Amino acid sequence: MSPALEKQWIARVIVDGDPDAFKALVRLHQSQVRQFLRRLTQQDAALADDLAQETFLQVFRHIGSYRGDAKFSTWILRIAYHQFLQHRRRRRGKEELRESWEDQAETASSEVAAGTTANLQLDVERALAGLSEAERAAITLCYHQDATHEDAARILDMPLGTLKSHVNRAKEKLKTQLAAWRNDHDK
Amino acid sequence: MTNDKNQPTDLQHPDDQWLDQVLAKAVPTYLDDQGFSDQVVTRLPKRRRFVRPLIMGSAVSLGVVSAGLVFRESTVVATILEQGLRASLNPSVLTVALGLLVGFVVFVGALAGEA
Repeated sequence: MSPALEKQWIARVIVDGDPDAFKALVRLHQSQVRQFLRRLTQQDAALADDLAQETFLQVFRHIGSYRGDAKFSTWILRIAYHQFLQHRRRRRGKEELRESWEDQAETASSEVAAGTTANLQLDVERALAGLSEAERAAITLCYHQDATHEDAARILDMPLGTLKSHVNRAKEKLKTQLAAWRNDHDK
Repeated sequence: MTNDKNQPTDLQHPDDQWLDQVLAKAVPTYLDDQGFSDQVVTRLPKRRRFVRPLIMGSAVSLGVVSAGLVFRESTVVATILEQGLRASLNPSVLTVALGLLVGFVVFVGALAGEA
């Protein structure tokens, strides 16, 4: 898919509200948005898809405000992240969520350290689940969504330095939690 | 692996390189649409079709009035307008003329809206 074609679709949606062009845009970006939201929601596929639908509805309503100064995918992921944050505020208080993350981090650490899982990919998923929301979002964007640090900072609405700190902190945590696999790899 | 612009891999610590490889393998697979885009499209807000005809109708009316003002000095146009005004002093003629004008404006507006 050429960027020119994507721009055509965007223009058709802005000018005419063309549902066919919008559907083409949804098809193009749905996988990336749904994957990103699945990571944020701890692989809750149903919730992630609900949030993805809301994201695209917001995209349709506000597409006129897209200025083209960032990639369209970056703009959509930013909206997706905001949808996730809104959902989180509605569903839980911050303290409760933090406790939840801490619980998950503890569970993830103990499971990985105890070697109760045989599969590296499962351990990676569990280790990712143990990160804070910002760290997980930063790692997901930089490693799995092909975003530059600048794009990721824009999506997460944080300064570039903060984003890099989250990435580095997340990598340190992951290295610690996956140390057993690293040692096996060296043998 | 992280975007090339983010990390110069040659200068990375071996632990970092190993983690990059592990995370690269954890990239989620492409999710098939499976009706997702259809669901989104069915939830799109309906377009308010009267807005555009209204705007276009107003624009056409403005154009007609502007043209009248611009060409009012023209003798031919002035004569036509004068004759028209005299004729329209008759209430029945005036009603028909206004009706035609409104109908024409709405028709053009609707056509433009559907285009």
